[in-house]
Amino acid sequence: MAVAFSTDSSEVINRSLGISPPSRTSHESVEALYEIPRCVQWVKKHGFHKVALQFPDSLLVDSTEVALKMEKETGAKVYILGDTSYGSCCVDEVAAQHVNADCIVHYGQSCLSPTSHLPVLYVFCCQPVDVEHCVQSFRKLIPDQNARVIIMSDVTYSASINDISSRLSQEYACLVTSSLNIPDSNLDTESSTQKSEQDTDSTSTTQDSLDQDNQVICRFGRTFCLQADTELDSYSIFYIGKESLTLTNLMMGYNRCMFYSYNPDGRNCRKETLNVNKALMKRYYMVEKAKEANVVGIVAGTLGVSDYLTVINNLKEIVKKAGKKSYTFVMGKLNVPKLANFMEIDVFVLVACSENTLIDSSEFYRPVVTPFEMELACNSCREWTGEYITDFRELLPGAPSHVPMSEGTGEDETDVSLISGGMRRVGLREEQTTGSTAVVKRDDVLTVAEVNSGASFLQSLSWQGLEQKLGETDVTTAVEGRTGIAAGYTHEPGAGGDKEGPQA
Amino acid sequence: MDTELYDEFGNYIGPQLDSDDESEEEEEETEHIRRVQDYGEDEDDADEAMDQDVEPSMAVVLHEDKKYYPSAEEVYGADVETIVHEEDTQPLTEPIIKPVKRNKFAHIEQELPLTSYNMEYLADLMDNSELIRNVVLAGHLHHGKTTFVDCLMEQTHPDIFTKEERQLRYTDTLFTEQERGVSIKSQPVTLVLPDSRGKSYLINVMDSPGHVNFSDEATAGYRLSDGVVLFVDAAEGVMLNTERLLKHAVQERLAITVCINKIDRLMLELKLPPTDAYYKLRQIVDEINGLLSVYSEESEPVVVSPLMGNVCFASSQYRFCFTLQSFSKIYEDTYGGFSAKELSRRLWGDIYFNSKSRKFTKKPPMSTSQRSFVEFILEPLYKIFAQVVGDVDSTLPRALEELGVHLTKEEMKMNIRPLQKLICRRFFGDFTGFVDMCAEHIKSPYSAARTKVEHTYTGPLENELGDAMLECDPEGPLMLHTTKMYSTEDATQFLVFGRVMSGTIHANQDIRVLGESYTLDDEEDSRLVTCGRLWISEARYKVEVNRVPAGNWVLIEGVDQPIVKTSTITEARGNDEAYIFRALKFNTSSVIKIAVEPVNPSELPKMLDGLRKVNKSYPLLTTKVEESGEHVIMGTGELYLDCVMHDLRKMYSEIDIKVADPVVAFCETVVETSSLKCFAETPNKRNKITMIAEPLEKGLAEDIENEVVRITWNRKRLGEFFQTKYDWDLLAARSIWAFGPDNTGPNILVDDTLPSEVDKGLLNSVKDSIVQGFQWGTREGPLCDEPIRNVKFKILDAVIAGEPLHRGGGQIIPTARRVAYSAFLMATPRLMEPYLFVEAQAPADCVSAVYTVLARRRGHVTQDAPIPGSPLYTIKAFIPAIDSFGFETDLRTHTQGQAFCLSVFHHWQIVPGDPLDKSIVIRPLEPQPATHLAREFMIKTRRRKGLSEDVSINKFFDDPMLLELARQDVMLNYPM
Repeated sequence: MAVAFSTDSSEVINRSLGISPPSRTSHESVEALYEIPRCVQWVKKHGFHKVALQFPDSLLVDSTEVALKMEKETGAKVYILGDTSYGSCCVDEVAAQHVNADCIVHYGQSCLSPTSHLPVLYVFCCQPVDVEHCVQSFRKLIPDQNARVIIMSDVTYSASINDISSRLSQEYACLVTSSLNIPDSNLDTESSTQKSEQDTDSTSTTQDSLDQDNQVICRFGRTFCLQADTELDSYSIFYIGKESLTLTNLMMGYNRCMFYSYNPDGRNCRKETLNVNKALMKRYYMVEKAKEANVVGIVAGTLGVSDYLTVINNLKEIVKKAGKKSYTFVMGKLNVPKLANFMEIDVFVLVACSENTLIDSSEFYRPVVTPFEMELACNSCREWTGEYITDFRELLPGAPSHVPMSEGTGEDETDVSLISGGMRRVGLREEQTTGSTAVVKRDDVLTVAEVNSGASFLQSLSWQGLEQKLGETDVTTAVEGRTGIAAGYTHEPGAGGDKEGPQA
Repeated sequence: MDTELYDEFGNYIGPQLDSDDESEEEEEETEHIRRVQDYGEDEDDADEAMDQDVEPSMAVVLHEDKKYYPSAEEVYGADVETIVHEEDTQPLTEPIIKPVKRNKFAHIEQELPLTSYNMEYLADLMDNSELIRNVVLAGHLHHGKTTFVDCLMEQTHPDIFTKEERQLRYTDTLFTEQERGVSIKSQPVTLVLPDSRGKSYLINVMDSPGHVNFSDEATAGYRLSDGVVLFVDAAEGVMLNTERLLKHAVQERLAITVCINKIDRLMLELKLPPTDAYYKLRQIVDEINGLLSVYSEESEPVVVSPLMGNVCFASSQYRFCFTLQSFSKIYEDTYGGFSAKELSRRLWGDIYFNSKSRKFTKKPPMSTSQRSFVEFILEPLYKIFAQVVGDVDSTLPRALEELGVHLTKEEMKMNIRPLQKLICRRFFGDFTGFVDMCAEHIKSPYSAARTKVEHTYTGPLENELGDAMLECDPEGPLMLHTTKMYSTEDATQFLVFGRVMSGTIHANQDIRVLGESYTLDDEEDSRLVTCGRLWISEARYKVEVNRVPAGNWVLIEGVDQPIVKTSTITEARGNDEAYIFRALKFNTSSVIKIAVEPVNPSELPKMLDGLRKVNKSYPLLTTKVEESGEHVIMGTGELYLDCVMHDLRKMYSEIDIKVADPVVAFCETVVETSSLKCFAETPNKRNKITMIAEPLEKGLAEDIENEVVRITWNRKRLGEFFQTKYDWDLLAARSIWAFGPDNTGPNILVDDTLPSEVDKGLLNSVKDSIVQGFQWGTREGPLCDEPIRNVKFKILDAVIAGEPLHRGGGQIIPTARRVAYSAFLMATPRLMEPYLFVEAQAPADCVSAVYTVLARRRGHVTQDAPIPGSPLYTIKAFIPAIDSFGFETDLRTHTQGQAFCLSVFHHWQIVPGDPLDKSIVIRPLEPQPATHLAREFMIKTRRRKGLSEDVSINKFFDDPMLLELARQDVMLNYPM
């Protein structure tokens, strides 16, 4: 059978990922790039015994070297966390807990989402920026010296941001520099750029004391402070860094602002052309799709960001209040086949860090929306204004963007679907407790029978092999069973996978 | 000079403001209060005030606690709200207390007008379903339907009469209809009209709009009626919409009668001699019969003829209407001695009257003899007109004397036109001929019940409920079919309009409203509501009734909320077996779309509410959100969307709305068979599907869309259909899996695998998944996310994993979609655009201008011919919908307003050019040559939807597939 295929099925398991092998960092620069002395100092200071090092895929080549150095200098047991289940920008606490690590050192790109349990040290592996070139590009791009500009940067270029802004602020009157907001964990977490952390402290204190009326805006792990009488909309944003999820995320979040970006690698500067409005309106379509859904799948896309459980519970609540059913899934990294396995789900909600939460789901069988969109769809008190929230923690009770759930009148509210043009029901549906559609307890087997949507789909499936056939089957002696995993048992012909099953 | 009136520089400042009147703004409150205080001290009514001062407390009052002035509350009392403004922020133009604004968008009469019959009598007639006729008046634009209803209204309502200079247009209730001079909504009127023997009938007349854009309204009216009166302008003859509406009426199985209207135009405008006028009329009747035989599916098509009495002649403007029989009756009443019926049978066709033998003969007795119709009907008619137009003073009185028409001196002094109207009206009397025609040739709701119910009801008829509907039984269970909603005059709520099919509806009754997606299995779309009041609609007034029995039309209050377009209303409980009535089936489709957004984003909810309401108001309107997040309104044409936008902006939401340029819907298709077998493997490498795509046979897509063939048929019947009609081989015909994107979608998925090569059992186990992948793929094609059309996907080979674990939906569905896309892209993909059919009338010297305008818009003429008996030409042409915006205006400009055109969606046609040809550079603001159009449309659609600039083809191909392609040099055209 395998002949028909272009490749053997074992190829799936042995397939190499499409990541170009990054060049190793030279011995000398490892120390500086990975800021080993600072890590060592931090570990020693707190007396950690088990240290987990988390690397993104692109930096994995240097991991052994860094680990060896760390182990030698700190004397602690060092583990390398390889393939993270979710985006490598998030701290993978679960993997760290597998080895009972005391702390995590997170290298590379980070979304700066706060973590819940372990102390984390962020090492951004800072890349150098040609400050002079950057400043010149800035001048060329924004000639107006009174323009209101906020400077932001990718975390890997955060070391240079102060340098750039100090040079520019002499010419530009209304320049605002954002500083990274290193998430606080229960133990003190430190960032790679001590300086910037101090900045955060100092600015926040000065803000508190000096000018009360300045507006401090703190989103997406970045803090900046606007003059009191100015609107955020009137600022444009200058971003230092490559095209990345971070940039997309910032653009969605500040969708009223003009964006410029400077790419230190390519040394080029441009006005961002990603049509935010178009992108935003596409998300609006997602909201409509979500309104349409009867069965919602909540997919956990992070296990590290704090409050994710609260958000999931919150989502379950609002989905239930909106008269929809929900299921919760944990499935690691998302892909098309995985989600398409659950055909009865009408829409998926991905609970992930703000950078990974936006997914272009046009390839997916069912749309994947963000918690914010799901709430828009379910909560009639929240209205689409063009404001977009990617960070799910902002939706929680107590957060600035929280909107309490609308209280359904209990009566049938109807609404015309804008997708199919049909009539749909909104608001809490009273489950009928009488009649044939009620939940029925069958015999002693816990089977829930409900003639509706997902359940009816499951009902149409049949299975066999579990029934007791007393006396019908002959007695046989014990035989050796199959070994291996379900994706390919060892005795099966052509099953090359004897180590691991295929992805999904 | 009073110096106080001037400031120190000598500028006039006016007197002190103290003397202002009482009704000044609130901000002067404080001053006002002070003044009150002053008065209190000045005048001598200060006794009480003094009393307070009599016993001053000895306590020391601090300065800040001292009270110098009374508070506003003390002055004005506790129940007066006082507001103190530091600054006046309200503009001068805005009144402080706004008057309550009452919106009014329609002419409504507040009280019941006087009628020639008693309202109770009308209500009583409703119980007798044999005496009811449900009639829809349909016809081309400006063929006089609305004016005809005016005539009926004038006959029955003594207080309603047309003013000389303006037409009444009683059923055009909306202000916009009056302003535009065109009906937009179907409007029902219920009248009690006597036939020629004086027997009263309850005639429910639906006046439908004649503009092709609004033929959806006519469809809604058709659904509730048992017969149609097709209006044809005697001078213009059968036109575009006449033909379409006739066809539609045949499809909807309505009884067909014809009214040839405006016959005065033959005399006064075209000035045809009577013989030619007869030929003209006969030509119209013949043409209608020709169309009937084309459209009729039965072996013996319906025939209309004046002899049979199902053709009447009328002139709405001059207020007369007759059939052969009613005209004969005038002769009978005048001369007597013969039967009107007998005479009427000899008044049409090649029959001549021999005045010598006093017999009717088939051959002309003399060379100068005229046909009987000319002699007995047209000539007298011509004479009456000639007399009135001619010498009014000398000969007219004598002629009138002869006709038995008496006019007062006052009336004799009237202008020609009203005088003509008056004389015709006196001479011909009421429209009994019309009533005769309706009573005789259109069935009553009772006798028409079987046709109607069989055609519209989705459920079985072999039960109690079916019997009740077939019997039109007012005692049976309630079944009510609604097809339209009318907004109240202030546009705040909707009244639902429908026909009671069985049972009786009572005011304030609890009812169950079943929506269009209701089935016995899925009861989601049903709602229990209590209906409010019930009315009989009379266009500008309503007659409230407390119950409406089967067979009648009714307006219902308070049930509009759960209804989108049509609905079925039934008993609140008990009638659980009720199926729904079919949703309307239109004879046109919405292909023109505009995207709307509120100018002020925070007004989005208001706009959504408005959209919801226009959606209810227009039967064929689609409002939806596209993938791009735009709110899109789709309608049948420019006029249609213009009316929708008016309603949206003015009536229903009162906000500013931005509209994007109109665009059209596109489709994606293929023109060849895939150049190689395309395959795709599932991500787990356990399944492999091979497919090719090819175009469908001509006409098949339309058959599927019109439900000539249905996927729900059993395999045998489906197979036979494809074998006989489209020459498919048995294997293919029997293995049709699905239509896509839905059950009426114009694409087919065929399993073309051989049982010897493929394990059919395994393949069938993943059939659902493959079908879902196919339907998903055809819903949004790979070119620009528009639906795929006219494509047959053939599964040629399939390797399916043996273990169910390895062939789950997750693996198969996305793969099936991917392979469908790659097969599609290998089969020379093309874009399709909607084409409109245009019919234009223009005088001979303007015909060339019509050609010019059409040519500039990629249109082409298919036919141009003179209209018989008129100086006009009819030009029939096709024009791409995307280039049709502003066509009508353009045409009128180029012909100085002499050409008139109507256009309606006709078919889909392939856009010239290869949409994937990357060598084409689209420059902004430049017209593209024809071969670049497909590319241009595709790229612009992709931009509008926020998709990437070009189709990334390799996304849909597996790597080995790409290698295969490279080996065969297939992809040369398509740079990756």
